[in-house]
Amino acid sequence: MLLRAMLSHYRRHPLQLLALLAILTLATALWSGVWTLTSQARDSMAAGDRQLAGQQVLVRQDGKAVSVQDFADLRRNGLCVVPWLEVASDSGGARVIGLDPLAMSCAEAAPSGSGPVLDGKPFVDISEAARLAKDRPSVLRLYLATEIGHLPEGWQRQVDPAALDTGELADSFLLNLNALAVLVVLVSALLIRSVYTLGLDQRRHGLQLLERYGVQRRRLRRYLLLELSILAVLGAVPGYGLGLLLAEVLGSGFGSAMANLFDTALLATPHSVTGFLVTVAVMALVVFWCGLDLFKGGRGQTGMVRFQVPLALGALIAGAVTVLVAGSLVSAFLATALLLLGAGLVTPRLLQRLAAPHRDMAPLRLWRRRELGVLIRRLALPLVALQLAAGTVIAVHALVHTFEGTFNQWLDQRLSGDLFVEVPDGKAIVDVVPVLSQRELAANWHPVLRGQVILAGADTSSSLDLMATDSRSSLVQNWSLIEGVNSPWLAVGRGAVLVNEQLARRKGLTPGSRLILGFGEQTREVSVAGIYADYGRPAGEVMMDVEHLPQDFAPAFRSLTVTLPEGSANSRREELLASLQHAWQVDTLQVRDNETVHQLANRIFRQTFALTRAISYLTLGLAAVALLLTGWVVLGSRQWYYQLLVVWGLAGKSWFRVILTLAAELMVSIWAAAVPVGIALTWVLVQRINPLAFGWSLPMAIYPGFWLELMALLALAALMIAGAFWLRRPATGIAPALGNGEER
Amino acid sequence: MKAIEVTDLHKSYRTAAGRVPVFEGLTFTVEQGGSLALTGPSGSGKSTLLNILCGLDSADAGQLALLGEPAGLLGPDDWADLRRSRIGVVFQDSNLMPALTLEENVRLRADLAGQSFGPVRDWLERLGLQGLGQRYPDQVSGGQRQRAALAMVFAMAPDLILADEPTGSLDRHTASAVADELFRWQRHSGCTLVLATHDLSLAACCDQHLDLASGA
Ligand SMILES: Nc1ncnc2c1ncn2[C@@H]1O[C@H](COP(=O)(O)OP(=O)(O)OP(=O)(O)O)[C@@H](O)[C@H]1O
Ligand SMILES: [Mg+2]
Repeated sequence: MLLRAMLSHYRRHPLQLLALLAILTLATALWSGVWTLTSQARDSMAAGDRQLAGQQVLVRQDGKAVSVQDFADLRRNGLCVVPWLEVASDSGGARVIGLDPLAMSCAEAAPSGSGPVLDGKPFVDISEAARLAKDRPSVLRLYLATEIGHLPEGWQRQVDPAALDTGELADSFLLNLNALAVLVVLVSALLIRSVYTLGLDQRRHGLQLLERYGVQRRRLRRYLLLELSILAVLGAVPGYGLGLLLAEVLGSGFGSAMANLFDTALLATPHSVTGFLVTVAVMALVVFWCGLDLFKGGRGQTGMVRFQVPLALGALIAGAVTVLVAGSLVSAFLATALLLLGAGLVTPRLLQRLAAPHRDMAPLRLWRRRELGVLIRRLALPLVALQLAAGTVIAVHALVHTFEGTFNQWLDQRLSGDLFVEVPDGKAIVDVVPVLSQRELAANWHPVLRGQVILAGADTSSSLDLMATDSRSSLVQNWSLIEGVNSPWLAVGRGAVLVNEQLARRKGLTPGSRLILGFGEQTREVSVAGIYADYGRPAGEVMMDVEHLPQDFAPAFRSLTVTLPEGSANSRREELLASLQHAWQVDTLQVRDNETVHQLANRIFRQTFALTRAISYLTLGLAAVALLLTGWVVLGSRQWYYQLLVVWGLAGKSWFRVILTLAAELMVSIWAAAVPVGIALTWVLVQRINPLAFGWSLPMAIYPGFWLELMALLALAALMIAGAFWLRRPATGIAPALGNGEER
Repeated sequence: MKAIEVTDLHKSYRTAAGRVPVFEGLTFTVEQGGSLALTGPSGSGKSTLLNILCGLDSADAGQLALLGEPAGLLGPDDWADLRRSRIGVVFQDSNLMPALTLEENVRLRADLAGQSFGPVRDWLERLGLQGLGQRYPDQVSGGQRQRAALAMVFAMAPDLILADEPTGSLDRHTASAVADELFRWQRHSGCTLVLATHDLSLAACCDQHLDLASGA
């Protein structure tokens, strides 16, 4: 009976119940989705680490890529090596890893053997992987499964390059995602609480009535708590399922981003009980937070209000100081959290102060401003949630766009040239120089050689990517460097090297630093002439002039970058290729053109931030829906007073204008509060978090065009609210009077 | 001149159970400067009639002329103009904007009516609200709120006041004080007053009396 009386509220306001359930479901979906993805990623990386921990790889001393024949030879020599064949998948998504179960048996038998552990989907038999490798890029690695005294001639031991350094980067990346997940939880907790307390406020009268009829307060609370828990479960269970679905939808893009960034495949781990428990725990916390109000009695937030501004200022100052000195990712996130907290606390107060009218304003404007102040106060929670969500979206948008812009510019530099021609095995570049020197066939060209080089360090030496090109080619000389000595390309021509940003950050290199590079037997000391940007991968790379490569250096890959003459027709391109084929005496050539490579690279790199972008937009959507819903309820409770304006003779159009202006002012306030948060967050992301998380930084840029888009979106929301009110105005008669206890 | 002329007015509401008539064939007139008391049991249609008289509701059939203008010729904007400067409406409660002080409420209403708000403080004082102008509606008593509502209507200097149980939520003593102010001002300004009330002594103060239950 009591339950029926209590539930009658939702029977009268079915929309509110629906809204509460929808927000609970969506919020759960969002955070459990992100949680599932990050835990999958963590598991995958941990699995990768376990397989490769302390693993040593056999590499050829001449730096050549390992072939299947090499594997066969080594096994015939009785060496226990485990082959690991990685093949890129068609879609550019997750990779397939081929293992040889037979080869692994020797590893298991060995006392210290810790061969790769077989779990997860992407592992297949090596013969299957080899079949796939025929027409796809692939890498073969040979792991030493047992300790052996001496190595066969021409081979050397090396710590697995794939396991190198990326661990820390990957952790940072996950931390980044986790921070985003925490933000999602916070924003949605704010939303859930605001929708719930709003409903509670509406019911306060009815609850007091029940109490007056003699229902014990304790019993009432128990019922309310029970009701809240039931609602939480009703929202969380489908939400969790939706979250798994979300993780699956976002998973493939996320997987390729991980593969590109960290060389780690995303393993599809089956959903775990832990995931569900975490969801339940978070939900319980949020419910507890909502339920706190039940036990406080009355409104009782005055203590909070009194300290709100000093608390906010304290958080802002502490956050600003921390972010300036932050040396680790955790402290950077802590600083961000403090800044967001401060912004969230100070915003409603600040907006109210700004909305406060002058005494001598025209009366109707004065009314609008006062009403705006009331709305800001009563919608403080969803408003702050929307502010933070919009700020995050602004920052993520700026990050992604800056990244795209910088990356495209960088790609243009890297890919300046029309055609990339692979040099066929066993053929020499010198053979085609006469062809390439013909001005009507090629306007410009330079060779690109890639291989591996050993960076000798104090304790361990590690393997680096090496890129060699012609430093005098005008195609490379317009590369812009992050840092460099005077005329860096001249220095490279004289034997210096350039290093990528990742390597520079990791080893603390600056222009002028010296490195010891090992080419097979031979080592050489070189100086660093400059640092160049190298986005989207963790590996360190050095670049040098081809002239200075040792005679016996065996590149893993050789290609020619060719610029065709201005305005040359397709036939010219065919002619050039035919001449090259003729000079090399081969039937086919591997040729890629600039456009295709560009597109491929862009597609891959866009995925890097796809997840971040998706999450931040979903959060924004959630916050916007919540604001619309709570705004609807709060405005609805003010409806009588808006109708009073009609009674006082405000005609239809002017009334609509007043309500629309009011709604628009509310939205503009949110927008104005979100933009500074967005700018601050952008700076923190590109200048602080990115270098710590990915190893490279981006220039700071802002996109006011996007702010305007956001503003337009909010204006649309304002129009929707005003429009809904227009439709809801009674056609005839006037709503029954409310009590005059309505708070200001 | 007649302030209100109602001829054979019909009004019914459509409900789930079908049409429910509120009144059928209502006819009466009120002279300019006169006063009319509407009485009748709850649900007899007092509020409905007042709503029709200010254009917030419409009748199904019959004629209505208001302040010399036939209602049939009035569009929604004309009604709005009338309510803005010539017809003052007072409800039982919730007549004030909660976010404005009493003084600001009166100023807003006067401003909408195109009246200067110089004498705002005078109105408040004359209604016994001296010193309360800076308070918000939830900081004064119900009687004080109702007096502020009257001040707002007086400040707009209307030709017609429609009051729906203006003293309904007040105690006897306060109610008669508020009613006194209302009648004193009505006589002084020469405006027309239509009053819906359950209070027969209040109804007795009016020139005319219309009991909606009997239709007389
Ligand atoms: N919007 C509506 N829809 C349907 N019926 C309505 C509507 N508004 C009023 N009524 C009905 O019309 C009749 C007259 O209502 P009205 O509010 O005019 O009565 P009243 O005389 O003012 O009553 P009270 O003294 O209680 O204020 C009532 O029976 C009421 O139920
Ligand atoms: Mg009534």
